[in-house]
Amino acid sequence: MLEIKDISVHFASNHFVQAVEHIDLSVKDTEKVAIVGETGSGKSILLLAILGLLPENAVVTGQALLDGRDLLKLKRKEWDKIRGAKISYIPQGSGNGMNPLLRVGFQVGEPLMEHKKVPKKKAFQKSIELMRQFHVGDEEMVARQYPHTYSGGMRQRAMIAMGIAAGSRMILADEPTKGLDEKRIQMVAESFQMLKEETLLCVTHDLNFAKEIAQWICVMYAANQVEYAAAEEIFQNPLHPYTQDMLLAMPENGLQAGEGFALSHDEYEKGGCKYAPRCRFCETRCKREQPPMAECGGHKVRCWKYVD
Amino acid sequence: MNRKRKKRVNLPMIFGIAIIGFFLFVAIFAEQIAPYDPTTMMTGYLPPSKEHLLGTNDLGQDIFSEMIYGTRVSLYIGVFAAFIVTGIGTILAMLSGYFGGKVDKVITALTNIAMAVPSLPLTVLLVAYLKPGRTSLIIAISITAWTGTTRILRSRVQQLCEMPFVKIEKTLGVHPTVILWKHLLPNMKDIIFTRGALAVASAMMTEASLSFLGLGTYGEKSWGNVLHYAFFRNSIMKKQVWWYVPPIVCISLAVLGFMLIGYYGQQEREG
Amino acid sequence: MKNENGSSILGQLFLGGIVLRKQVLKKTIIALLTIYLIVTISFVLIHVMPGDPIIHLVGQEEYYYLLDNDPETLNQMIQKYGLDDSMTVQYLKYLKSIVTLDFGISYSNQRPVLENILRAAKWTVMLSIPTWILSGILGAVLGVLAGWKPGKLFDKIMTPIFLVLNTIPSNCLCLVMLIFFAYELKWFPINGMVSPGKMGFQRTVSILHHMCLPLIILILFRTASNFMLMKSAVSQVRKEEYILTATSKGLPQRKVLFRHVMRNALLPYMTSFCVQMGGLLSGSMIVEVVFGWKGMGMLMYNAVQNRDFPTAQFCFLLSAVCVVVSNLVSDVVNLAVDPRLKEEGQNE
Repeated sequence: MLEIKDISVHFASNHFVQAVEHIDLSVKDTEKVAIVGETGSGKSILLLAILGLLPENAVVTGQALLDGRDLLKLKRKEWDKIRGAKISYIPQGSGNGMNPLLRVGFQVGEPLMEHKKVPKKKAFQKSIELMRQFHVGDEEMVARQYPHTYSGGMRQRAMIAMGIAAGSRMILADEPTKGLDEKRIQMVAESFQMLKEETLLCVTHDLNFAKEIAQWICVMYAANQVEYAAAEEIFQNPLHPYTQDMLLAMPENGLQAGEGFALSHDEYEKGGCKYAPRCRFCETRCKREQPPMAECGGHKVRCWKYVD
Repeated sequence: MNRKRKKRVNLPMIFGIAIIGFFLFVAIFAEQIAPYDPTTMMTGYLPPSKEHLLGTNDLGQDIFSEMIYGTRVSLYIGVFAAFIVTGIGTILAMLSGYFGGKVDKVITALTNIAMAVPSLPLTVLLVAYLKPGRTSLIIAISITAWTGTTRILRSRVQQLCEMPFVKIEKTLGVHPTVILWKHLLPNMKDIIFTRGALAVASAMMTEASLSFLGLGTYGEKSWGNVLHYAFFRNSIMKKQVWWYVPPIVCISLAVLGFMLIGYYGQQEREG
Repeated sequence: MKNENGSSILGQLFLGGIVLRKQVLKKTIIALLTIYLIVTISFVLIHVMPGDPIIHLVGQEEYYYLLDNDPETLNQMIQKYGLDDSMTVQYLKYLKSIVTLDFGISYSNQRPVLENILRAAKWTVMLSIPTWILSGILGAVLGVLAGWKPGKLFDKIMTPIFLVLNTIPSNCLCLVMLIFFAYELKWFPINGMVSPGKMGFQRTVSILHHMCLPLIILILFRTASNFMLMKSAVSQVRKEEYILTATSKGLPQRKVLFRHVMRNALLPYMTSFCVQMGGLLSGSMIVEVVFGWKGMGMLMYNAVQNRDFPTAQFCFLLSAVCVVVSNLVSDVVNLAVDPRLKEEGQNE
């Protein structure tokens, strides 16, 4: 069980802009939760903050309790025992998330070597098995290859294998579909669906993908959590104007995209609802005051419309 | 975000400009500043005094005046060589980056060959073959020094050529010289300036080395030449500090000045 | 859900080996071509320079001396060098002399040029190989320490020191060190390579003592640039995503550094380290002249001063060959170490 309590992040180099603001979220064991939002909404930073992987100039406040233990208070040495063993991170497959000079099989088996003290050769064998399981490739040769010979989809699946290699039950995945085409997104989604026992917190900007893999969806906008509900609820009955707009902008709903988003500095300081400048239902109240989180029909939603 | 970030004062850059400004001033007004003609011979090996601020050398020439006139020679050779180096580098980079294909292949091959030539030995050899003088020194310094500039600028040109505004011009059939001159060059002026400043620094270093070896200009002395005579007339053994220290300080300072402008000018742009 | 990689992986590996061999062959041919071009340019240089080529070949002083006292010998020389032959014949003879390493007799000491050069090269190598290796190690270690924790005390102290060292012209630093350590503190001898009259073990000790100061200067200079290179390589690799991945696996910092950061940062460093091998013969001219070290740099310097052009030219050619070969070695090492160069990604 992972409980995120009131986590905020800002960077020491820039005090004005909050990267993540007061996020509360709890993920029960074996549940799958997706965090969706636009680029720059702070979702990836939230993920890295939970894992303690943000650079030194990041200031993180709040609590992230993994089975009751606050991750944010851990020392580096304690982190090394938990990361990869209890909670693991799956980087973007399309990016540069694998060391280009080491064989993929070795990198997949690395958590096993580190946490279970499995010798190198055995870890390699195990990683071949895992990679076969996630359909990265059947032959030993595949594991002997270097990351650059892999396609983005293959790398992503290899990384999922890497994430669970040492038996970690809490998986945090960062934008697993970025840069992949439809066919490969489908394959990655299938790989995630194979994680039955594990708990998953996945950051993505792809709503369809989120629908495929998650039971719960948390929508983020401009560093804030704006809506949290079961996946079907979000799609069938979206409450927050942003969620509604986002669904309208999906290809199958006719691509009714709103304007681009870029909060100016002044808008950050005003302290109103962050979505007010783009919102269709914007009232005077919205511009002045940040709405609290409201409960409404099984949703948690941050909008004045649902406060009363 | 812009509100908070006031224009930061780039101290190293100002320091560099101050150094170079000072030397430029000295070089321009050499006649007015120098108390003697540096070629006039008087009593030799005099220690510093009121008449001779830095004493005299073996031939009885006033070292202070030598240093002041030397500023002129050193700066002239350094700046001129850097001008040629940067010029050649920029032209080759633009040609190979813009036209690509065979032109690029030839120029890249040329660059690779020039990089494989050990520069100081070649320069020494050239200076020996050519008639001694400013021009041969400048040629010898420039002949291998353009490679670095070409390489860096070439990738910049390639980057720019991928930009929409260049692509549009290309499809519109605008003449290459116009694109190169009006669009690419203005977009590269910062990086050319930086490379130019660094080229002056390295040209001055090479000049100082050559002159120190006695392979520099004849007749007129640069700082390196002064150091050459100081060293080979055993001023160090005789503890004639006033003779060997000034050229060392001047060379190091001038090189530092240009390096500061080069490095920190670059950093200012990058933020 | 089929394996996208298909059956081509085995084929790829075989291909990889062939591609590697092919690339090495290609690079070798380019290197040979470069050497040939440099040799040719050097021939053209003598023949387009103003003045009678014989002056450049026998040396100016020798030429005038012979012209006045012994025109017969001079004529023999002209015939011997074939200067009355056509350009083509001269060029072929010149190529032959290079292939057979026959550069004639040096006029300075009446010994074969080759012998002079080999003796000088031995002394230079005594300085340059320790410099190369020691500064390679030193620069790497210090650079890693500074780049791994940028902004910390170590970085704040070392970086300015090496930056300043990088900007000081070499002759200036040489003189400053000479004045301070040899003249003022008298720790090291001022000049030369060995004290006279020493034999056997004592001679070795004396040589080592004479070597100290030039060696220290050379090492300082090389270490400075190596340090900057390694520091920037490490701080660049540190920002890569795969370092985040490595940390997220729970690897202790030590393992992240050695297994992931170092491996990648050493790649560009190795390339530069191999390229530096090219300077083994020609990189220490100033230091040699200042300290009276009779190596290649000193030999070439004296040859140029005495207008002994055959020696100067051969020194230059040898240095050039050294540079070309080291570039080739660096390319091959790169090909062997970096898997990305072996086979370009053939998927997608």
